[in-house]
Amino acid sequence: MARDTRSRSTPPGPSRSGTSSGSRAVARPLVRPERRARLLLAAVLALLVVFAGRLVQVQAVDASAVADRALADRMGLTTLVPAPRGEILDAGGQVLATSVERRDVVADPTIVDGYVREDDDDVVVAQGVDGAVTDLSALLGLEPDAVRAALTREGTRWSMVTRGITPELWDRVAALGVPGITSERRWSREYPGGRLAGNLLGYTGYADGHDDAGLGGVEAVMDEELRGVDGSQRVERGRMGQAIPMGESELVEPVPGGDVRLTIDRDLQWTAQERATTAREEAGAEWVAVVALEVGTGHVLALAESPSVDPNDFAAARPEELGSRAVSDIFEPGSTSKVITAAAALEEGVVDPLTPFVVPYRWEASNGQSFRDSHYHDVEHLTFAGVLGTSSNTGTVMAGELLSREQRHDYMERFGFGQSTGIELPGEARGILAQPEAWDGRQQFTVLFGQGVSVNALQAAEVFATVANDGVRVPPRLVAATVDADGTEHPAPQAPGVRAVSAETAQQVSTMLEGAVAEGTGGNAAVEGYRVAGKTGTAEAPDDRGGYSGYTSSFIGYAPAEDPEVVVAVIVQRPTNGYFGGQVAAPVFQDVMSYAMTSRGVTPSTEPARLYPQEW
Amino acid sequence: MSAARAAAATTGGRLVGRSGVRGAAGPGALARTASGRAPAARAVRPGAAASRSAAPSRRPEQRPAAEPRVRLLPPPPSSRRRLPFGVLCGVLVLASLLAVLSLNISLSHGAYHLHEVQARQQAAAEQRQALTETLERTSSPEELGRRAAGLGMVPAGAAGFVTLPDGTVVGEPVPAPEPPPAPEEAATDPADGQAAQDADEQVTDEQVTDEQADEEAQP
Repeated sequence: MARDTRSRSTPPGPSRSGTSSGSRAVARPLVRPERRARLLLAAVLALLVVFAGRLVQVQAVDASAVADRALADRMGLTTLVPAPRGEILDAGGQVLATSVERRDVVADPTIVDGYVREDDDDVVVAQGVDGAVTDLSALLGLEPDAVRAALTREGTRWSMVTRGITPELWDRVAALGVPGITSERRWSREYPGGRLAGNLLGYTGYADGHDDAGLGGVEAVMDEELRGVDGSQRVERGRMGQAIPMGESELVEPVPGGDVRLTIDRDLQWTAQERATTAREEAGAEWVAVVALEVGTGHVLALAESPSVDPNDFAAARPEELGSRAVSDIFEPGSTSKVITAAAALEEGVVDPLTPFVVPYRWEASNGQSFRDSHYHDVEHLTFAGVLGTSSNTGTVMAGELLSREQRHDYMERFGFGQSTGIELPGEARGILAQPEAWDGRQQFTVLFGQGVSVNALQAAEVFATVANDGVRVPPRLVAATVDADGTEHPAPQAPGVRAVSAETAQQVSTMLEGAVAEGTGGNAAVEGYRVAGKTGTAEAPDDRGGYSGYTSSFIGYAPAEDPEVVVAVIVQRPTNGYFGGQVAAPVFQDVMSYAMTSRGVTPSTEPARLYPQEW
Repeated sequence: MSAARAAAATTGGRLVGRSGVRGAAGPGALARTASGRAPAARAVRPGAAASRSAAPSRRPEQRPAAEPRVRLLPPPPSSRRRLPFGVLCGVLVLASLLAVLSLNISLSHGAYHLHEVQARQQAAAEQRQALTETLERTSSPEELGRRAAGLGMVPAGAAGFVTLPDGTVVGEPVPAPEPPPAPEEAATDPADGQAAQDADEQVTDEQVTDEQADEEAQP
């Protein structure tokens, strides 16, 4: 090439032929080729400089802007790739809530009529919009009219056909090859246990631009941990806007959310929930709550209630049923809180378990307020243990009168009344504990047996967990740990326990509570093979009009009494078929506690209980 | 052949000629130089350059011995040498094209394979999810309880514990209550199993006795 160029640029003839005009032929050939070559070189160099300059400009200076523009031309719009929400697990790692992939089927009505389906012999069996409607409605199990409406929608190229089909079904729909039928991926929240723990798990829905934001229960409280980071995708698209298979694609991988492991024991939760359901039916109660706590750690093993809600279909539930009544509904605890009075009187040294009391059916306080027991009885000679065992109101008030107002208030506070438990659930009601100065002449006595003060079921259970834990109150908790998407586990911080009463006092109260089950009102709560400590409660339930209507029946206790492992609280609100706690709630306690002991492999009690005498 | 010519033949006539001119620094030497293109020659005798320039090409071997100076020679005929070079270039170009082509083919082959494997992975992941869903649903306590009741199973009673190493039994194990009469029927109808379980729980409720004193009775 170079040789050719040069031979052309050098004039061929003059010097050799010598036939042209002499002066030009002699003078010019020496000069012109050189100059031409130089000019040419200069021109070529200049051109090269221009090219190189442009190259540098395009590749280096404007590179990103130009690349972006080119990419924008080729690539379609950015589509969201939703991140799966983390799972909610029970203490044993069993799945309570999970996210599954679902597809929304979308049609582009402008190109659906190109549909043709042939059988094996190349005979057309379905064609056009009619064929697409027939095939799709059969496969999706939808009304043909609904499918037709979606496929013939005017003035749009995005028409929703159906939502939330499984990926396998989508594969079969995609195999039809209907033009314009595409799917959009999304995650759907599933609760495989149905109603299992439904009230505390909560539910998800649309909020803050997310399809599955946590809206209730653990889903809402742990939303930050459960929620992932959505990714995005852009793919090279053809003229019709369809993704080009194997074309350029740009994917920002979504980051899945972390898991949350609860302290809930799935099987105990189910047992408690089943018993709550049957108890509510049998007693004709407004609601029933069953709480099980692990002694020492405050782990909530079960938080069951009836009526319950199925979070898979939370839209069908009544709004007031969506939360957890065990933390959001308050009631007057009644006799179960006589435990606090007993602990306070023992701790302050005003009585001991064997202090004799002469207990009448009706008793009048110095300010003229009179109190009576629930059943008529002649004057009884009871020890302080007997007062608690028979759940005597008059005896309790007689002992409690020895405490100052401030002391009464102080001990209720020490056992957690009037304070939020800090449980990881939304909408906790901390109950009502009025200041001692605000108590009227009657309330100062009624608080001694749990009227005129209100708590939620978890707070009521906490009192017994404190006694069972040698007088140290450990805040209850529901979340054991959070697990990152990469498997790193972060145990939830354990709040330190607070000593409410001395270990000695707790031990004395515990022995008195054993007596209440073995010889007192709580006989129905006895669990075969295990020593049970517990207390019945039957309180009048306050109504909306400031008076009282119906009862709150309860039984709260723990086992084995010599080395407590589990606290179970059963609260039955406004039963209509029987109302005594020992009659309505204690059998539920017996079943749930019996299951808890067996399933946790707790060895039966071997040492017989040494109870305080109830009479003198 | 002289050494100069041999040099000219191996390294190219023009280059050698020029170096010869520059090597002979004196004006006299310039005048004798055969090169018609040398700038120095032009400067001395511009008019004679044209006539002399033709001389060496016409009589290239007139005075080989008397003129030891290097002079410009025309490029040696190299057509025979160019041909293999051209062929080599062609072969190289062809080979590189083929290499690129085969690379592309194998790349797209890999892309197809990747696509296929990804599709299989996707299908497997979907199948796994579907199976997991089924498993989680069937292994939920409610479903297990229902199916166990359907098979005629009943909740166990109190359990006994064998302590090691002495082998004593702790607790008072009691045999489970009699299962419902017709497990086959119950197995087909879950509601039956549920009823049986309910009946079982009834036993505990019958033990209910009167509560003693457990209520505040306000006047």
